Amino acid sequence: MINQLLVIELTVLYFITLFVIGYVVERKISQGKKWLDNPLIYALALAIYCTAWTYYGNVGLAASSSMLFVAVYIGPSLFFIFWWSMLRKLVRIRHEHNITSIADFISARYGKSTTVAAIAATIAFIGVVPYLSLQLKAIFNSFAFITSGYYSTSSSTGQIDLIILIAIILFAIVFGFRRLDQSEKHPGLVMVIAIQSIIKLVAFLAAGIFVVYFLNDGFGDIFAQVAANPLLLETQRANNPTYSLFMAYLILSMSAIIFLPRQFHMAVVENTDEKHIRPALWILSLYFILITIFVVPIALTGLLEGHGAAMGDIFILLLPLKHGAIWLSFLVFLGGLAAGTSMIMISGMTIATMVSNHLVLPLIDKVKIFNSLRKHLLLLRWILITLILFIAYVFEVKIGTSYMLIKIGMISFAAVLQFAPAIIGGLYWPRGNKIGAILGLASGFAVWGYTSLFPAFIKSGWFTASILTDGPFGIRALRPEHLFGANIDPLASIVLFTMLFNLGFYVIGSLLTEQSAEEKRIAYNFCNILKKVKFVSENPSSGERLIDAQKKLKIINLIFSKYFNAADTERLTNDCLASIKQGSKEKISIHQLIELQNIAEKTLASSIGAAAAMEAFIKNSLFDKTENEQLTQIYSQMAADLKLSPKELSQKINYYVEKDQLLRKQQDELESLVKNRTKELEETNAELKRFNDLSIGRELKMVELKERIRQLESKTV
Amino acid sequence: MNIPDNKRLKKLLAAQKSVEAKYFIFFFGIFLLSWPFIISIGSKPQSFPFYFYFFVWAVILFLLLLASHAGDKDEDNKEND
Repeated sequence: MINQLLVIELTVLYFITLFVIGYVVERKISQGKKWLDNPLIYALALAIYCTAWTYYGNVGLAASSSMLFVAVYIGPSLFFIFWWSMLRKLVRIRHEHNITSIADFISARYGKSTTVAAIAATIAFIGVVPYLSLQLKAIFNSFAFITSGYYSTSSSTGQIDLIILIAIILFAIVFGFRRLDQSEKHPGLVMVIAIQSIIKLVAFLAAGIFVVYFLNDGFGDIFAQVAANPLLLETQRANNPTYSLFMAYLILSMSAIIFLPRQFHMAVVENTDEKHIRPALWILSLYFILITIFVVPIALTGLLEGHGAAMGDIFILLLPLKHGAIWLSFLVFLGGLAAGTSMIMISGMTIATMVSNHLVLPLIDKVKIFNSLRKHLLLLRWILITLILFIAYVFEVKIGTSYMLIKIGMISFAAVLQFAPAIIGGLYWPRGNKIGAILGLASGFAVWGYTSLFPAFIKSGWFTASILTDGPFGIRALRPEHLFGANIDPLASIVLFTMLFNLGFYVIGSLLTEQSAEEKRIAYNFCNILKKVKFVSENPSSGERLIDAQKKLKIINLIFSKYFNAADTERLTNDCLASIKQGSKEKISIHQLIELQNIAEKTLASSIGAAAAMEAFIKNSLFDKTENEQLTQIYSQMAADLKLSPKELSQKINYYVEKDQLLRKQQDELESLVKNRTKELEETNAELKRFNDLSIGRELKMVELKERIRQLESKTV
Repeated sequence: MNIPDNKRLKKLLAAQKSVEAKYFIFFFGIFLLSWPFIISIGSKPQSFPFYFYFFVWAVILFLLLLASHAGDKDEDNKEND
């Protein structure tokens, strides 16, 4: 074990170094440096997927369930084949709509619905907070073990745990929540996450090399030792996972790599360039291979040395410590700290944003006595992130030893799987609508609660255990872990039934109900985001300028002033006007007013989310009665000019999109044809040239021969 | 100018192949990952699934690397155009 004071000092030094790095990066980026503008940093930031659960838990899982852990990493690598098209769409939409979180994205797609946003935020909160507990538990346990040499699932070092927690909260606030606008990038935080990804990889590799090449003679030697140990071999074989469990892990990890709130944040919100996506995929895949390649050897070595599989989570710390590699043990501890803190910071930040924008803010807007809190949104977020992390801490302290935390990682993965139908459908199925999304998310979440959370509570002793074996009220078909009598692994059962309900209700709900005009417009925009089709006039400055800009400016100012302080309100309002290239004293046209409304709504959305921003602009409309009539006239005129009804107009647009696709395709074909023809012409030309050269050569030869004949004739004569 | 039908057909087939390739690789990958279970993982040496999975993973990594390189080339060509 290592001296506790030394570990504390070095840990504090580590946090200070991270603070300095974060600060310097933020400063340099604001001065125009492009340090984050490369795919390596993007890929390393995405490696936040590898948490403390990965770091310690993988070895534990390998010790108890053989190769099951590999599904958690190989699944995403396989799914990366589809990432290019999907992630590119997500990034474009995020830029166009100032998306701040995964709940904001889902809400924006389904008519900026506050209900959809609230359901998504609730799923994220309930699903991810226990996962935060798991991270805290891993950090606290590793600290207790490295300083005392004693391992227990309930290890706690009291005040030191709290100090670590407070440091994490401070870090998240300083680099994540300094500004209200959450659609902006956080370069300091991204760089810190990337550096922490390097630290955890280096630490894991160092421990792996130590175990494989210093304690053993390579991979082959470890497997030979296991083969020569019949008892261990038999136990390992008996622990092999079932196929249904392996597939469940695979599916859950494929969805988690993008739908976990922290992954969505890093992949979509923090993306600086679409071109980083493709290289990041193989870099991240390589990262996963490297961070898992030594998992099995470490687990087997721990077991070969006689330690039980129950201690598997701590093998990576235990082995170097036991064999006197003290500094390596500290490096491993630091790697675990890096893995845990990265996840806690970003998850805490994203959950706090979702909860404040989609659960707390609507409440503040509705209840009059809370209205004044709108001006303190940033402070509210600071309180929320502190509260969320303390809830996770209390959860860890109170239920730390129970069944719950052991499987909580996969339960969280299953919770975020519920986002999959609404997001994938939202990107590729224009017919998917708000009612379908609400029904799908709510039913999937309810089934998730019944099949995963409820059994966890039962196993923690909160309900009678007979419910698991006989079902509630003796109805066996309703056994939570074997719903409708399905005889598969409980986790596979969660995946199967949540998806069956979620997807089923999403499709049926969307097919049976109609979309509003606004929903149709957004759905079309989301599904065709890569095609850049515009509905509104290309030239917003066209039309007569009769509207008083100053009056509109006051309304925007009034809306902004509810959420921002006076200086920010003034600045943001002026920015909106500047965006339509218009001075505040001039008159503007109706087209410019439409543009102004869009920009102002997007500006507000970047701080409070799309749904709340739309609500705010509905309550205080920029358009008065006359302007609304003008607007109606414009759209009527557009339809009349085209001699079309709105339905026909929509069909016509679809027709032109298809036509555009066909033309592009034909253009490609023509280009290829021109290339072929040019090649053929060049070949023919070369042939002609060769023939010409030959012909000219023969002519000259003939002239020469004639001359010789003439000379010979003259000689003969 | 009319494009000969056989060329159009070839183009369409090529486009179809490129779309299906993704799905083919994905489902073939799933099949490969299921292989140790199909051949009964319990009767094999402990080292078999380890080497098998990391080999499959390396192949996936290689494909992603190729896709990244091809993507870069496409984008470079588009920018040059």
